[in-house]
Amino acid sequence: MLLELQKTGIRFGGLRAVQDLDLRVERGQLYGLIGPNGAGKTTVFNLITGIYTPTEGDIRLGDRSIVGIGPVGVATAGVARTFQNIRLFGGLSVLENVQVAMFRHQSGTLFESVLRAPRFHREETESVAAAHELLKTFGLAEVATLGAEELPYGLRRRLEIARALATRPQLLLLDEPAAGMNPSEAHDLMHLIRWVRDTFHVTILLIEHHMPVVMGICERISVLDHGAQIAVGTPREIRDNPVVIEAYLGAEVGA
Amino acid sequence: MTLFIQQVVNGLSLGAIYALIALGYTMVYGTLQMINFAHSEVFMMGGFFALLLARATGVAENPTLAGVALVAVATMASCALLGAAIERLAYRPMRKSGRLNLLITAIGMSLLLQNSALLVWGTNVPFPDLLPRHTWNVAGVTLSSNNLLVFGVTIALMIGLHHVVERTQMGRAMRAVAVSRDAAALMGIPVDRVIAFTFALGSALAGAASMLWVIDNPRVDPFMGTMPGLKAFVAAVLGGIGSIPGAVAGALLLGLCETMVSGYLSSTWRDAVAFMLLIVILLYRPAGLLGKNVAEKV
Repeated sequence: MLLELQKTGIRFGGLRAVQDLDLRVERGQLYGLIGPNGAGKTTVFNLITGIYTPTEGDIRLGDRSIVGIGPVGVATAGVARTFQNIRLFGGLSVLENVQVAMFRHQSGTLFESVLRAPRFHREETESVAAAHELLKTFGLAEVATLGAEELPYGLRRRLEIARALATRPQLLLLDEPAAGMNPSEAHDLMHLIRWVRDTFHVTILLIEHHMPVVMGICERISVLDHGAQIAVGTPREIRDNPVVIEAYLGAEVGA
Repeated sequence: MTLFIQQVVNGLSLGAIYALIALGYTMVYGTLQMINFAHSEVFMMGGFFALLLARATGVAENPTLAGVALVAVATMASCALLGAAIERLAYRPMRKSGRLNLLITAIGMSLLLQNSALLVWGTNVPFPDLLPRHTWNVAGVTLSSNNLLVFGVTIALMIGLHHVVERTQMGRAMRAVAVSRDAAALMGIPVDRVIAFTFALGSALAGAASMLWVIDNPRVDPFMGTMPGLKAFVAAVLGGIGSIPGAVAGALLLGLCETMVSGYLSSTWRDAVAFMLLIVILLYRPAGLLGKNVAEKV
């Protein structure tokens, strides 16, 4: 068990955005989180990553609770994410976006870097090499020196995944990675996600609206509606679950 | 023409000092979107640190070049510590309470530092002559050793700053935090440490500025930071607050403007012109000369 949400919930004033959520993600699993708009999916991501602190329940990563340790703490514990509305570091180059995400793995002090001490030199060279390597596997090597904001949409999505992987996470959260993509791009992305899981040995939890993507790659799926989990199971079980069909999938199932 | 070139030299010299102070305003604004009004007091404290350090090391009595350089580096380090301490003790606890509260905290911190300095050291304290002053006459234009010192030190510090910001992991982290503090935190960048570092870096530059300032104007005073600080703030806004090259450009422009007005009009007009320039730029280019117009995130 890598990630476990135990009776997790959060209230914003009178609104229970997420309630009583039990979620268990096994190490190495590709797990999908689906539900209609406003169901609370992104709120779940914000709870896991420490942007919000749950008002009820616990969130455990491995064998420890990650509640209250803040976004930097959660990231340091090995959780990385992408965003529904892409949030790259504009003004930094593609390469720098990846390099800066390696921050916590570099131990050289600033003093050494100003003095260009050997250790700094080595780490800087290593981080550039590692970042290049990562960009190459994502087909971004040719655009490494461009500003991140200059990339076309599809490549920006890829860069966000590459940047998240640069933090060397155990758990990768993808928030609607296929948003804004046409069916063929979404299909490519599906393969990319599975390949990322196998190559980098990460556990992936993803939010997605494209049903073919979710059904195609996820091994387990949770369905959220109005902040509560209404179903959990394999893609087949979810597809055949009348509650889900009723609440969410509707006519799309047959499509 | 001689007068013009003379005023260019004077203007660049003044502008270089403004630039060193303005960088602190602009970098802090870049990471926290906050105007650190206590920054001019860090500059002021730099003057007192330099005085105390010069006395303690005996450099005040026996100034040597190495001794003065040592005092300068120690002054920068002291200012860096002060800047980081201000951030840690006063601003960090207030960070979640909104920008207006931060601004008021900064003004309070500024008053606290001014009045503490007044209480401890009093006003108008003479500063020892640390460096012999040479002047050269080049085709009618007077060039002083202080001008050269200011140019040399400023250029060296700008190169150093450029290296830190563009080529080190901490510099990249600073730029990432400036773009999005939340996204940076979620990528495991220790945002608190990066912000503290930004304050320390800006304050060290202000320390260098005050060292250059007191070598040229040999007295220190609890209120000596007010005018240069305000001018540097104007320079940062002029260039586009948040932009590092903008702060330098704005500062040089402001320095030139001031000395031109003093040279061709009257020195009583120079402050008025400096602030008029600000108003004009803000009317026609609200984001500043090199600033980007950024849509407010909602």
